[in-house]
Amino acid sequence: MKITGFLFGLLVLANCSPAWAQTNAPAKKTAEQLLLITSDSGYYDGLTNRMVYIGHVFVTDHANGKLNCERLTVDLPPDGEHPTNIVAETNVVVDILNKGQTNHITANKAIYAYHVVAAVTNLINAMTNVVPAVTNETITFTGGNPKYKSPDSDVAAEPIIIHIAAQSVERVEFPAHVEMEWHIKSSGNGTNTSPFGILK
Amino acid sequence: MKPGAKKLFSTALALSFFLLTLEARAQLVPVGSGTNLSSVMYCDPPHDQQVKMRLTGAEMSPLPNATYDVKKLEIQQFSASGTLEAVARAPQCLYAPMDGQASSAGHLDLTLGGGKIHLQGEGFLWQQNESRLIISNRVSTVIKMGSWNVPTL
Repeated sequence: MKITGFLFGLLVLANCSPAWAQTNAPAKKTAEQLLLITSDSGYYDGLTNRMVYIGHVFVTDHANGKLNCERLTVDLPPDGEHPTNIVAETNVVVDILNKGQTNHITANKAIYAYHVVAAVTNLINAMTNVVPAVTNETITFTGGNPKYKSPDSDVAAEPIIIHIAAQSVERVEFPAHVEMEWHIKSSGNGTNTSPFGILK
Repeated sequence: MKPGAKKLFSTALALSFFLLTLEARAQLVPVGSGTNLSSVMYCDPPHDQQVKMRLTGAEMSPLPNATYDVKKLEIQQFSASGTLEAVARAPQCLYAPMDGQASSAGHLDLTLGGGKIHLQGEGFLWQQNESRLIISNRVSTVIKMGSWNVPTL
């Protein structure tokens, strides 16, 4: 089984709507996408198989999203396996371009976690005795009063957790300390109608 | 002796010399100039037959303070299972075998993740004992987003 795309969900997020109640869209088959990371300096630790980028770290795929931070740590599992842990630290800013609109996430820290877990099912391949597996991907934004800004609303919460499934945003979770502000636009007909149709 | 045979003999002699210096499986302490520099580190027991790191260079010439000017440096790092984890290449560097360090103000290429991650930078310091490669300036990485192996349960 192969998957395409991983890093911080930049590409993952970019293929998705920003709303926080999404259904998974089937993965699109596209040409191999390249992700670019630049920084002032960095180091590779061969003992831990870890790459660390330091100073003015910038991550982009040139089309759909970008990330800025001061320190980015990528743990590389052996044998070319999917990275399981990526951490962006200090002044983390993520911009995701989606359908011509930019969604903006800020925090002091962002943690991408990827795990393969056994599927909750009784189905086991009788021939191979293989337990079905599913991937569990999350991006957790913490510290520095994390904020999620979309054209429709601003949300502050601690933490902000983005759940990813099948290369799409499954949902965005605001588990605690939520403050939400809606951007109410004028209808343009001279009346100040509310989005809920209550206030006139 | 014909010129070609003489050159071959000289190369073989230089290579043999370096192979002898590597026999102890310790840090390389070469003497003199030569070609086909090679230094190998092995894993700790119980994988002590497995190569952990290999340093090679096409040419080397001695400099003061027990350092060497190495051309076409290549450093390979392997996992305990023998998988190639990282390959670093530099057109030129200074190698200090007594300190276990290689450094350069020049260009560096680093490949990780089975070729999925390609990194470049300007200026580096490689610390052999710590297995650490520090890239000083203008770090740039390109990651191929597909084809990751999914860990098995």
